[in-house]
Amino acid sequence: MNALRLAWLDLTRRPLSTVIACVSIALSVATAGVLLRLSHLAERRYSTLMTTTEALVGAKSGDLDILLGALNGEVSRTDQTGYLPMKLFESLRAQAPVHFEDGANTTSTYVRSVTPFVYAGFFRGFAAVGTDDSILRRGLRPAEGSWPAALAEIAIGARLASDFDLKLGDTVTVDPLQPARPGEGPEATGQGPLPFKVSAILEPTNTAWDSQAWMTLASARVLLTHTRLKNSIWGPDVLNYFLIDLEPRAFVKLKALVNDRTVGQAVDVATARSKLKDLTGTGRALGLTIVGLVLLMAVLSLASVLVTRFESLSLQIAVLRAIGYSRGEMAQWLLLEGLLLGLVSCLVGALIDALVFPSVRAALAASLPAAGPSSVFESSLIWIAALIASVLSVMIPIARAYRLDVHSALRG
Amino acid sequence: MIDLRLDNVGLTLPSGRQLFQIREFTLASGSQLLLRGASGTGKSSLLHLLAGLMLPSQGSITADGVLISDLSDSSRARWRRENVGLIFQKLNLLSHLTVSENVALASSAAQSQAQAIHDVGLSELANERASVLSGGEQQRVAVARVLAQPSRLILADEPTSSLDDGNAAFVINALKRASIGRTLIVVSHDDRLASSFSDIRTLESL
Repeated sequence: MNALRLAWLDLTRRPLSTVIACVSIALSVATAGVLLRLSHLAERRYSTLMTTTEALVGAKSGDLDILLGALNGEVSRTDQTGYLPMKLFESLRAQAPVHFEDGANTTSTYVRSVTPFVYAGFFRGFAAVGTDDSILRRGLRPAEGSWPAALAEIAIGARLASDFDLKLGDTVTVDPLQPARPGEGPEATGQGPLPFKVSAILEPTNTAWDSQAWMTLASARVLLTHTRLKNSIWGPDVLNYFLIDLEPRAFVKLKALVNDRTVGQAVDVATARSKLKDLTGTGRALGLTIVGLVLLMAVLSLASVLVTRFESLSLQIAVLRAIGYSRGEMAQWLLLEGLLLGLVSCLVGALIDALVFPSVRAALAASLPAAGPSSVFESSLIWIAALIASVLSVMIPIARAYRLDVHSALRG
Repeated sequence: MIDLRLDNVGLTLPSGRQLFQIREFTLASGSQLLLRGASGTGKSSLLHLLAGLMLPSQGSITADGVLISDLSDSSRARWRRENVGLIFQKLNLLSHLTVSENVALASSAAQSQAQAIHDVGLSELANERASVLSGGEQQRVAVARVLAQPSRLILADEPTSSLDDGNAAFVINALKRASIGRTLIVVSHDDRLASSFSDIRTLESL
């Protein structure tokens, strides 16, 4: 009987012991895997941030929220409350004097360029953004086709194009952010997704923007009329963010204007990025430490399970040695058994990881990127570690099998 | 069949007590020997020495001209698999395996496995796990394993000591049948075996 069959029979004929070992290892693998993926996701908030703008303006909500909302694609599917009036954008772009009710006047000549940005809908779960061609100066560039110029044209980010195999001329549908209920929305024209024709496939930027679709402000306005903007005093004439480049040392002036006199909040991108980096760095270190500890526990638990399991095999080893099995064959059998147990446990652990992760991610939504994939294969490092641990754990029983006094063992 | 020769073989326990000393002993191939003696005199240890499961403290054991103590561990295992069939008093089988799987441990040829199981009258229990068999049935499986092996030397250590008369008779008859054309050494203090052997010795007489 070869070593593989011997290992298989030993595993399947002791089902309770095998299942307990398997579940124990699988849970450790799944826990470490989920934690590792969460840690990757948390880090991605910084590493996938678009960096081609100096300042941002968003509705008052906190600088990191504005930073992540505008530059990392973090938009809620169901809660869109942070809007700015289009008129404020137009004033800033035109560098026109802004008149306030208290009689104060201000100009924004320090604004070198400003790009509008509004989340208008979702394409297969990924954000569709309304903007204009000034965004092309911020790192986006068509690899094929031309930037949307007409209604119902859309540019597709590189990752979306690749993931969904989209080509120029394809028709895609975009769902409004939060569809209007019947009778809601001042300009509601109906519900449901709207068709768009792909006019451009964008070059990859290796940022969250690769996972977004882009359309004109006019197209976005059409989609926004389908949303529940009844409570907005500006109707669909709104933006979520302004992406701004400034004259040197002008951020203070922008901040004074926006923060003190409007519903908006100005954010210095470099400062906010630095803050985010500190936060994700600390989080990553903490996350990796926890992953390391869980992995260590998994390895120790695996070692404990396997050592205990093989402790009971000394008589079996003695009988096999008496029949004529060599020490090498014993080692082969034990290694294969450990490897089989490790493999099955890793498979079960990966399955648990894949099933549980979406719920964990949803529960931690506030501190994780809302969009962006997280593949279960990101946990492969854990699987490899568990497999190595399962092989290493067998070394102790193998060493014992080598030293086993067959004569004494057979005499009981 | 296998010729055995022991020269000045001694076994000393870790405590320093010498268990036995055999100056010179030869056993011609095809012999059937019943080795008797009181408990604790080293009968089982001698069988294990002959099987190459342990090495003598001194002296040499030669089987068909092959010096067992000169072989490496893996060579001894291979030699044992090709030449020796071992039966113990108990603890012969892997309890989680079936009868046929236990026999298959010693022989990969399906036909000789089935024939051996048939020869010991366990065909109907071939797919039962060893753990559910009686003591007598378990010993028959051990005999079947030896039958299925191409072994030339059969070593049996107290094969009948825990069996009732019926099972003891069956096992010893099966062993005698199995040993046709092979060398058989049985270690036992079971008086029921005496009538089955013409060559009966004690360890001290070797």
